[in-house]
Amino acid sequence: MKDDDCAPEKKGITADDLKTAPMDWRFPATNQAKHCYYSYNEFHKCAAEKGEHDKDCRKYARYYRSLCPGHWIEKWNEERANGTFPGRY
Amino acid sequence: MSLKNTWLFPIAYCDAAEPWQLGFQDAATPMMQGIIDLHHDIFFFLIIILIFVLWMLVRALWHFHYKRNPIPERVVHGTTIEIIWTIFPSIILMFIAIPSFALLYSMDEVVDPTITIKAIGHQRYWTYEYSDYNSSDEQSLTFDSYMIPEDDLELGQLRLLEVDNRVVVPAKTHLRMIITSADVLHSWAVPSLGVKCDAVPGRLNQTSIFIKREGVYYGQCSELCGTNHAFMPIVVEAVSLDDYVSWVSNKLD
Repeated sequence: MKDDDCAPEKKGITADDLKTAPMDWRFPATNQAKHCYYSYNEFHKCAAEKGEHDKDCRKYARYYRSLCPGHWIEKWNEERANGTFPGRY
Repeated sequence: MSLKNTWLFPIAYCDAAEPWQLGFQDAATPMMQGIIDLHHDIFFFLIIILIFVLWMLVRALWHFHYKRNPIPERVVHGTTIEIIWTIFPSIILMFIAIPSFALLYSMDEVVDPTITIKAIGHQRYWTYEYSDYNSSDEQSLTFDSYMIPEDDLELGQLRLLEVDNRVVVPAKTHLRMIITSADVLHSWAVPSLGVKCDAVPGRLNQTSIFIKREGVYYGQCSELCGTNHAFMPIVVEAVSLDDYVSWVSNKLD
């Protein structure tokens, strides 16, 4: 992952940017909902420990954004803002 | 298909349903090729069994007609025939089961994908999210795909199948489709790609696709989802990797 990936002005992509959350053997089932939820939580855990812009955390952010539907993320972010999200972080 | 071959034998693939179509659409993924091959394999056994059973039936009706054969046979048990008609069908079932399971499990196989595309079913349209290139939670490449109504069709467009925004994907690339729904059950199905995956609210069903050739593939919602179930088709446009990259870049701008 390149450092300028988080820069908001960067719009276009190149063939190198074609990558996504890899197959994870902890989530071998067809239903990837847990994979998505795990990545989302892992990101916030990581962000709480190392800060949002850490390289490892950005990896999890990429994973959950790839896997989770937008309206799920929106809902969870809202819950986090209201303090009603069931996760620890 | 190489250029040489297409020049000699121009080929138009069947990637959409045709009126009165009986057979399959042309395969564009190894999975669909496997499904077609399995179908043909099973039909070999099916035809043999059909002919054998019909022959037995007709033969029995003919030879044991009450006029031709007034005194019925009194055979009530035959060990040999019992063994034969138990073992033989088991062997046939095995010959059908082996390729069938091989295909079934190879469909579940997930190769490390290059691209994840999310298809979210809504009453009555599909939303597609390409979020691999997001740098925030704001969805940057998301669009709805509505059917083009009959009155707005242009010449050559397919009735009830054409959509305003197609799913553009690269050919010869491993894709992960994540299929879910925001309201009721739907099903994301494209016959040429050999994909039919239910969209269930709360579940993220994953399926992988590897499209072998560039083309436009048509499919329809395949789980009864209400009044306009027939009017939420799916169109997948497979392009070269370079074209895909420039398409995404244009969309992100």
